[in-house]
Amino acid sequence: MSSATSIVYVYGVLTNCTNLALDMPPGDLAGLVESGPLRMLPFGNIAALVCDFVLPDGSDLETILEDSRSAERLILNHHQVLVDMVGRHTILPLRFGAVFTEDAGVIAALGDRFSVLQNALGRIDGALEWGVKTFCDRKLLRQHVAGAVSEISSLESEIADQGEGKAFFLRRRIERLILEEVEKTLEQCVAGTQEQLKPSVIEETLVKLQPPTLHGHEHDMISNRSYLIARGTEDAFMQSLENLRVAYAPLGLDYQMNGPWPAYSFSDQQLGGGVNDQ
Amino acid sequence: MTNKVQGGQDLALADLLDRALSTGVVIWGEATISLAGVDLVYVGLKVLVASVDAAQRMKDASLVDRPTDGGQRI
Repeated sequence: MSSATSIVYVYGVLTNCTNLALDMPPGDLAGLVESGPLRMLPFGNIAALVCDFVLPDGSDLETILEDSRSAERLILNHHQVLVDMVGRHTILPLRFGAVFTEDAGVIAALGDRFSVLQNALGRIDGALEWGVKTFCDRKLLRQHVAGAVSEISSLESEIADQGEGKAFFLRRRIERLILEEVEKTLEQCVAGTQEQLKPSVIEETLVKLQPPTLHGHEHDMISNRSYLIARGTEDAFMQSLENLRVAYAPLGLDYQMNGPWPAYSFSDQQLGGGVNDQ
Repeated sequence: MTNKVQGGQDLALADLLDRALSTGVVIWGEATISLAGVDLVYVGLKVLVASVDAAQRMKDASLVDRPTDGGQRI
């Protein structure tokens, strides 16, 4: 059936308006062909941002997405459309992969969740998501702790006067104390970071920690968070982060900020739904 | 520090995958290919997310304009 090769892909939901340029950003669509520009599908005062795609002959989206390279390209397209829009208009980002066979399904989905979508849009209105990753040079922190905790310093000076056996146990005790102090200090730093940033954010949420192969930083990631920040107040947030960097640098902490993102991390908690939601 | 604008950020692919695949609104609900498709999409993407190679490739492909100053390290 020819209709089976045409899909309506939904990027996000926004307040309905008529003055937005709806150009598809350039990029590789992994064989999918746009059968028109981006469109708005309205329901009441909200609208879905969609694009019609024609799938390659004899293919289906599932098969295309099984190829990781193609999936990557389509995920990038999803994000680029949202990023392009988020610079101009508040948009509630949909999770990647929202596909319908026709407009009526999209409009029905908007209608079914009209009030929660309105609320979700209100929650992120005028705000953007920014990420902050915190890294720690544990070697430097260990040195700091070893020098700063008097019990450790006195145990170390005691070692010189002891025989080999006693010195061995003293070293183990010192090591245990250092590890405890390192963890305690890290907890205090993370809490201090949250406290310092709190006044300049609307909301915050955890993002999962990444392994070194993904984050690419030379030191351990100890925290990964997203913050919802009102447009125009980013400078205050960045200044707070800069203050933290200066304050905690002697302890081996480093911060990386990323964004702005469409408010992905602040768009899923008010809405139920999912693949079994009918 | 000046306000950084979009396009000057180091948006790594891994960061995008963490967001676009696991957060964001879920609104679908029609009994069409979206149902079957979405199931399969997420099976496929779980594999993708778990793939360090894939994430690294996306990093290399540069999600957006990469910063010239070594990223937004502040």
